[in-house]
Amino acid sequence: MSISLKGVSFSYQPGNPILRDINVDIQRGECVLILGRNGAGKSTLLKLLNGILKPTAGEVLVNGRNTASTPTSDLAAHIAVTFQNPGDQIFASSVRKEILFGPTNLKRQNAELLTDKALTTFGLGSKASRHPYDLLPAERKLLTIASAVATDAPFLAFDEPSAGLSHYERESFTNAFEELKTAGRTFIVVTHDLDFFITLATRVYIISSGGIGYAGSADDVLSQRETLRKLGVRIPLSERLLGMLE
Amino acid sequence: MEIRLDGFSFQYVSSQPTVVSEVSVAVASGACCAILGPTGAGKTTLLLAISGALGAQHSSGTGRGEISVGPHVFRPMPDKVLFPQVGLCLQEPQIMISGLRDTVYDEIKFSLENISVDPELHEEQIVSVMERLGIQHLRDRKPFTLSGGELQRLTLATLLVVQPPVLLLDEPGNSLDDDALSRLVRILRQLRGRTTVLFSDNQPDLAILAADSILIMEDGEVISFGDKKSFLKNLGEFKSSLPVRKWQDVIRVLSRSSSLRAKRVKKRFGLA
Ligand SMILES: Nc1ncnc2c1ncn2[C@@H]1O[C@H](COP(=O)(O)OP(=O)(O)OP(=O)(O)O)[C@@H](O)[C@H]1O
Ligand SMILES: [Mg+2]
Repeated sequence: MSISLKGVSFSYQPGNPILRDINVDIQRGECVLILGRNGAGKSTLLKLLNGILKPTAGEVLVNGRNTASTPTSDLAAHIAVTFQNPGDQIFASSVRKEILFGPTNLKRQNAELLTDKALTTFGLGSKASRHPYDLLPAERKLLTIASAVATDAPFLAFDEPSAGLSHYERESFTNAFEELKTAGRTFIVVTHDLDFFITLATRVYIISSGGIGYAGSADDVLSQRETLRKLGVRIPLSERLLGMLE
Repeated sequence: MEIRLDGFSFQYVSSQPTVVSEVSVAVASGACCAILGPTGAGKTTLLLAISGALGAQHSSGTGRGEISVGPHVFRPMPDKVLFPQVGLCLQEPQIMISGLRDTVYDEIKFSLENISVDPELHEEQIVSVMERLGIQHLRDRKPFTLSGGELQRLTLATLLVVQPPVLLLDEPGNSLDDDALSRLVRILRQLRGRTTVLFSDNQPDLAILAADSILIMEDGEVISFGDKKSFLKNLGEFKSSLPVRKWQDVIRVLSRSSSLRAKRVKKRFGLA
């Protein structure tokens, strides 16, 4: 089980490439972080993984399936992606229905069970019958993540999952993450929040000028302060001060 | 314009708990106040109430107490949106975009058209605000094709260009990169003395960099309200509502060290 990008390029408009010749391999059980400046192409990369966007050159293989020739509905069984703006993907009239939609659509035998499990894991049980738009933004974010998890897809790709989450939700998020990791799920996380995700991550990619500006193991990246700064990655002020005062 | 809340409370539905209870705070004209606390603390509701959006939209909710914006006293809160006196930036930037303009430049211009400012001055103001937020290169782009962080910068631009005397920002740092955050800090500092700013966040960094006073809320109640110095001194008390562990480490190191660097940092954060 793997995802591999081979020489992937992408442009929204001809002659203006956002990503150029990207080569990335992600194996089962990993948690890969994708970092980079605003507009670097991180969200674009996620949309290439589940086939919403097709590469203009090169190929994206998800468990061996080429995204260019596989219907997105088939890819959905292998990879679930959440968007940066929850409003772009929520459409059901209740929290529970929203989560149930994915596994039902994929004809998962245990769709109800997967839904209830996801509700509990992300602390949304008491809100199951609420309309998604009655939720707070942070809860809506958790809802999209819960929906992705409930599809039972082995690969989970999240776009800024921690934005707007306070440390309460972060705690339950971390626990859920660890649990899913142990169960063999694979994560690809786009984030500006290196500080929060670094302890969960195995590998880090930083996108810069359309290419991979940095690739390395999660254990090394925090010591690369100069690189992080050059590539525009946010380091928390407290962390920066501690480094400076050491 | 001074912002003042006196015993302000609000309940969306009478069968549910109050989301904001008995909040009394004053933010001096031109000062910057950070409202910190976890999800559900009532931060957004408070900002919506001051802006007038809450009173305009939730006529079924119940408010108590009063809110003053400059010389105007509202009991319990303004019942219509106070724009352009008060500018409000919501947490999900998509809903801030008009959808009526095809380019970033025109979207920013749209804000100015709404308040009928002399069109001769538009170009200069728009260019200046785009430069301050680092979005000049996006001038001709369609707002809805922007990346998350680009869109957040645009929504800030549409507000800043209007120069409202009061600015309310709900978690403005979300989805911003390092450069954009530094720009936001610079902008907030430049506004000091001219614009009264209240912004919310769920972690303390931006507050420590840019705020004069810090209001901490949990479950609708004020846990603490004071200046930055007292916040940094009493970090331990906010452990349950905020991620302050690393900052506690910083303060510990600072208190032990007498290096020139430590002195500079202390001075910078008003701890000397
Ligand atoms: N439909 C589109 N048409 C043209 N350009 C686009 C379109 N969608 C995105 N872009 C541009 O492509 C670049 C990459 O966008 P993307 O959303 O992938 O960035 P990102 O790395 O996710 O940034 P952020 O951190 O701000 O979310 C940006 O400059 C963006 O403006
Ligand atoms: Mg993005």
